[in-house]
Amino acid sequence: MMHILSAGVHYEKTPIEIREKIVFPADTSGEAMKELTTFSHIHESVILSTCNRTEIYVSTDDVEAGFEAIEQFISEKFSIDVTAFKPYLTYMRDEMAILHLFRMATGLDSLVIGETQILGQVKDALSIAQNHKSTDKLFNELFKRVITFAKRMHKETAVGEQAVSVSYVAVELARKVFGDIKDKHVLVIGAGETGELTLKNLQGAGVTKVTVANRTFEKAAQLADQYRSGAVAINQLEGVLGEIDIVISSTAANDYVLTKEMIEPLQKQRKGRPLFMIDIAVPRDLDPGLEALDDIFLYDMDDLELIVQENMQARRKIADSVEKRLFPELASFNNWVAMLDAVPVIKALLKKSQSIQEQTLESIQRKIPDLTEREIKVLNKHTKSIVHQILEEPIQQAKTMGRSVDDLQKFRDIFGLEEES
Amino acid sequence: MMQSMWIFEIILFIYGLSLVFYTIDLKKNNWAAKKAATGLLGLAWLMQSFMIVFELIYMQRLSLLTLNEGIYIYGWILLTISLIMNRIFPVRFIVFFANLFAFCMFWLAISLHPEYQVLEKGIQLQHEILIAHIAFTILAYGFLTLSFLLAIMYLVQYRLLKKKKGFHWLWRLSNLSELDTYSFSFVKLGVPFLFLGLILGVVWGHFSNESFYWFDMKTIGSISVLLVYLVYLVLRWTRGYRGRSLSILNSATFLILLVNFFLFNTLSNFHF
Repeated sequence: MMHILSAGVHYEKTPIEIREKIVFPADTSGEAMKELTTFSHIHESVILSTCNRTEIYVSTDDVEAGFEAIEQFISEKFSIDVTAFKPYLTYMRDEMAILHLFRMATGLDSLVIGETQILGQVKDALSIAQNHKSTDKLFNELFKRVITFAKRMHKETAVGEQAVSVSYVAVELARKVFGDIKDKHVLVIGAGETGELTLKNLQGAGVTKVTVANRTFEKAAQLADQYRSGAVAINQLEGVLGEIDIVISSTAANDYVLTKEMIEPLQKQRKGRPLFMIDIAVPRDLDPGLEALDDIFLYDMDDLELIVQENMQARRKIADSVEKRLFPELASFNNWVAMLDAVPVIKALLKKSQSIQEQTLESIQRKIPDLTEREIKVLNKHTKSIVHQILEEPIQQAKTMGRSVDDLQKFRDIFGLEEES
Repeated sequence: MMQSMWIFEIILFIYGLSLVFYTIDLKKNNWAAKKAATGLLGLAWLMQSFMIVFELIYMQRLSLLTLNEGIYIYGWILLTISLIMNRIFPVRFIVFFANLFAFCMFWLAISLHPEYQVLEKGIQLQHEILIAHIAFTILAYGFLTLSFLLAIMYLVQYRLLKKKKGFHWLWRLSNLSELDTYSFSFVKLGVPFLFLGLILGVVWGHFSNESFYWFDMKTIGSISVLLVYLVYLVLRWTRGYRGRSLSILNSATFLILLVNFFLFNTLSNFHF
């Protein structure tokens, strides 16, 4: 009987000193997987190596030998003594290993619950393994099911949809106001370190119209030049505010940089155009009184943090519902495996019965040589039908016996079967 | 059409069932429920479309003359536009709200006891002007209803963003810009049809044997609705206004349209 094992180092259980040693870069992992299958008792292997984990999956006919092979492989590959990493290795076998793989690929085991990056990494690992022929029927089917399940869960439950970082929440909120933000005019107030980082991120998001504002105009101009943006002094902000869609403020000022009184007169000119404002400064740069104005959406750091918490909670809730759907997947895979073991036995049974049926038909033809072609056809059809009807129940039984070597052997003995090697 | 009440009730039942599944999806973000709701809605829509086409082609008539028959066609048009819209530029929940609105309208049609209101012959196809008048007006109502629903969704999303509450809904509703743009687009589509419908109504009023009054409540109501929508278009097009204020104006105008449709009809001598 074939077993599925996994052993690996994980961001939660293994110190970074060990994790950073046991890493398989993408360009050499294929060779490593191939190499692992050369160990005795190892039939298939897939290695998943990311910045948070390295996990090795093998199929083996001997659990102990399988784990020993993995340890030996890691030890030889990275020249570390087994005793140095063994305490930190997480070992799993059969159902636990399969469940873990399903959970991991869906992002339920990730630092950020529901993230989709891991699914891509599992897909890549499988693809590399297949290219290096380190997988066979069992792993091809398991990983195919795992990837399909993870994709389906992401589609049906949207487990990874809610933003769980402050910057991502800010971008998502802006998108809820404007849709696409690429063509929006953004005002970045503050030319310090945070301002520069904001500019960098905005450029990365494809925003092209940016104006930098700072108390000292020269500093704003210097930063604006670097990022091909416009610049303005803070005391001249009123001149540009009518055109602005998004404000991101991060100065070290002690007073409000933008107040309700500054924006209110511009409301008529804006004619209902929304203004989205993010205050990432502490103490705050943007007057909370601005919230009272129509079409202005003001969020500070506390608001953004609160949304992150709420989204994390929502993800955890969805993750719990996904967990419940893992078990039917496991049962379905187990059934498939049972079938896989039973297939050669069923094939042998069908072959033997077909041979008996053919011999019987030939014998009838020899004893009654005057049979017409039509009569032979009818006889053939009916004798086949008898065989199929008799075998229907035993075949069903064989399918359920698949996971037990002893039961399958009894089945072979009862029917006197010999499988082809 | 309305004579076949049992078919109508089956269609209504399927619409209702689809609404139940949509509500489950709305509450629990349930993918399977959404799929079931869409399938049921598609089935009900197909059945209704088949019946309308069957009547038009084989019976050479259109059931449009009574209020409940008009509502029946109006509900169908509303769903047709929302389904097409959802296919071309999907806006989350718009089909649900259109379905809900249409269902309420269908329910209203049933509660108006159609067995007492159906004319024996419906409108014969030779009354082209009357048919065109009613068809254009109902089409305009379909566009304007969707515009209204989008404006309401805009106001809901606006409130969620402003109050920083209900993020579960906020993430699922479309963005303000999209809701505003589509709402405006449907007014742009609806107003020309409303205008054409009104012109044809006046023409038919003059050429038919029935008496036509400029001071009839229905005439005044319809012209008022058209004028307020024209104000909306002027504010948006030439003055550049958008967003919350126009969404409020849009919603208010649609309420006037509803009053004109239901209340002023009872005070008028014309067809429904």
